[in-house]
Amino acid sequence: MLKMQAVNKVFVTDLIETHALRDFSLQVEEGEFIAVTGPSGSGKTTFLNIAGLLEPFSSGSYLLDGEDVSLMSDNARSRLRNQKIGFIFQSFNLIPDLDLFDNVDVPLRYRGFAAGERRRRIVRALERVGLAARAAHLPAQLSGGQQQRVAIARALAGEPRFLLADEPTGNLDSLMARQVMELLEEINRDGTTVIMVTHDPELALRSQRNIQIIDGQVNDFSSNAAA
Amino acid sequence: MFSHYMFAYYLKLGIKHIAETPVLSLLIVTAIALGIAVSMTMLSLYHAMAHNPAGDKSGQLFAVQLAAYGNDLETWGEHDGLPLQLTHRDAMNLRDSEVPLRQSPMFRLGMTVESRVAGTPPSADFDVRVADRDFFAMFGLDFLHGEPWRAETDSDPARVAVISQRVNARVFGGDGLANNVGRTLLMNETEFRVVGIVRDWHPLPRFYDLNTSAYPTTPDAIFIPYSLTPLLDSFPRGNIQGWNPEEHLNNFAHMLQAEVVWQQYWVELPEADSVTAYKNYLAAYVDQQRQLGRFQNQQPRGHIRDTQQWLNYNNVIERDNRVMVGLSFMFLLVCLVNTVGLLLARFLRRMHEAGVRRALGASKAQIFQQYITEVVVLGALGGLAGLVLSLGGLWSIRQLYEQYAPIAYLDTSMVAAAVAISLLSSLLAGVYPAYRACAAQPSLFLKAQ
Repeated sequence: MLKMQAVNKVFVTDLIETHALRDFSLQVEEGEFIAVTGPSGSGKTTFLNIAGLLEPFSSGSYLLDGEDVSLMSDNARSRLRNQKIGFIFQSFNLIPDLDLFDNVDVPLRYRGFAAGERRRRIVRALERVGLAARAAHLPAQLSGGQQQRVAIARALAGEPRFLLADEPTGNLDSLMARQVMELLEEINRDGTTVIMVTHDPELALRSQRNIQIIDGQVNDFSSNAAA
Repeated sequence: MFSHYMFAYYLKLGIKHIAETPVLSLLIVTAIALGIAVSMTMLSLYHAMAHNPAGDKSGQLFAVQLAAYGNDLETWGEHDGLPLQLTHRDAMNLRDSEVPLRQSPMFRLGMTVESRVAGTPPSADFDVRVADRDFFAMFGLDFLHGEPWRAETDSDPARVAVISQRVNARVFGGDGLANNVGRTLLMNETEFRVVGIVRDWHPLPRFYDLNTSAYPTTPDAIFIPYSLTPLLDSFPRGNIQGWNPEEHLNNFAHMLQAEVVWQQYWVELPEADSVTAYKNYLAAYVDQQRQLGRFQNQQPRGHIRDTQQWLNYNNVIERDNRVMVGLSFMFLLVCLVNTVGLLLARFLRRMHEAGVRRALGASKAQIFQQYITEVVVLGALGGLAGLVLSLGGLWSIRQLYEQYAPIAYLDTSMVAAAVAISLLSSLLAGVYPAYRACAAQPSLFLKAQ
């Protein structure tokens, strides 16, 4: 359902060409929990941005649910991103001047849901992460772990098929990191495909499948379940 | 697609952001408001000056001119040798033409009218228009009571008057709407019988008589028959010009015979045929006068101009006014350039939010629409503030320049123009900053907060 074939991503400046991804090929099946590891600058985030349709790629092909995204307009890519992909970032990326309710509301607005449907989904998503009672709070009034849970609620509210997480526990202490990881595992058990970039080998081991990216290439596949 | 649903959302976000950044928002609103205020003040003045009060009849009402001066002598100084007014003798002669549908010679007097209302000053000075009966129908005056004097009065003088609502109130009391037709008016110690009362009439510019000022502060308030002219013995309010240095005006009776111009003459020619016929009539009249020893100049001729041509010919809108309007719009441009800078600062500071929204499913077009909506809100606030400042600017002009006092006001069309210009200019100012905000790669702003 997510299939990249010989994808290349080249950043060109006046002086230098940087190959962030080289002949990158990867297939992710529905319901998988994949951990993506690799050293800094290896191309993990670039892969995640391309997978999440946030960045174009230079060559190759990328099929998401059978649709060739390279041929899509910005509007179509945005719609697909909104409907099928949820993002979780290391730095949470909540909008600071919107309260939790309105933050979770953002992707639902672009989906075009009616007010009643949006409210139902927002409340359910915030209840799931245990923050429904704080819907009127601003992000700055929450701890880091709570903010990340709001970000997860925001990603879940649209019921995406894919959850892309870029070092979701990177800014959290170990207790909060474990809580967030447990939440992601629970989401995966409910059927959502999770692709998580992480530096933490312990978290990587908890995934079903671990891929390493080195110098922009998928260097190694391993199945944690088989290991 | 820019749906009502999303517009309401963008509007909510825009208002929220404006409230959360009061200083920057105030700077943007002020920049737009100043530009709008200066340009709308000048444009309002220009718009009022450029107004043609004749409206639909503009092309049917013609001012008459005659090159009536003698040879080898000074002209009246007009650039084309055509005086702006006529002699009494020519005005009397032109009345004989049967070509125009309506026509009237005219001039303006000042007369003192005695009040019949106890407790008010005993008399008041009013501008009096001396004209033929056709004047009322030709220029479309609105009768509240009575009617113009009878047609015979144009040849057989009678001391009758049509008065305005304002005079009616001043002389007979009340709000000026009472029917005082038939009552007597004492003007310059002479009795006149009121035959009609018209609604106050103050066309600006006063196209039919541009002597002394196109924008007089006092309107013509009383109208009396032109046939009374020889009996009035009163010099007109307006210019009196002559070409013959040998001719000295000893008295009013002499002025009626002299080669001096002081009267206006208007004809109503509703069709092209009648325009041609009247031009032929004027040519024949000039020939006839030459044979009688008058009009002995190099280019004896008659000329007619319709209302708009007449306003242009008289330079009712001076070149300086056009320059001022141009300068004011350049100032608006400077304000808009500043607004662009302020909007850039505003939107680029929120690139992170734009990146997050893009990641959550907003298209570039939706981010653009969100920011443009915010700009429209700022533009509307700027336009509103600009309108208030324009009112202040026009008030200042009324205090400083008496000649603009009657016209330095905002009318509804100018209010609509101010709203349109402020929205359009803020949209123009907002396009580039909004484009910059939506065109950036969202991933650049998501890694760090």
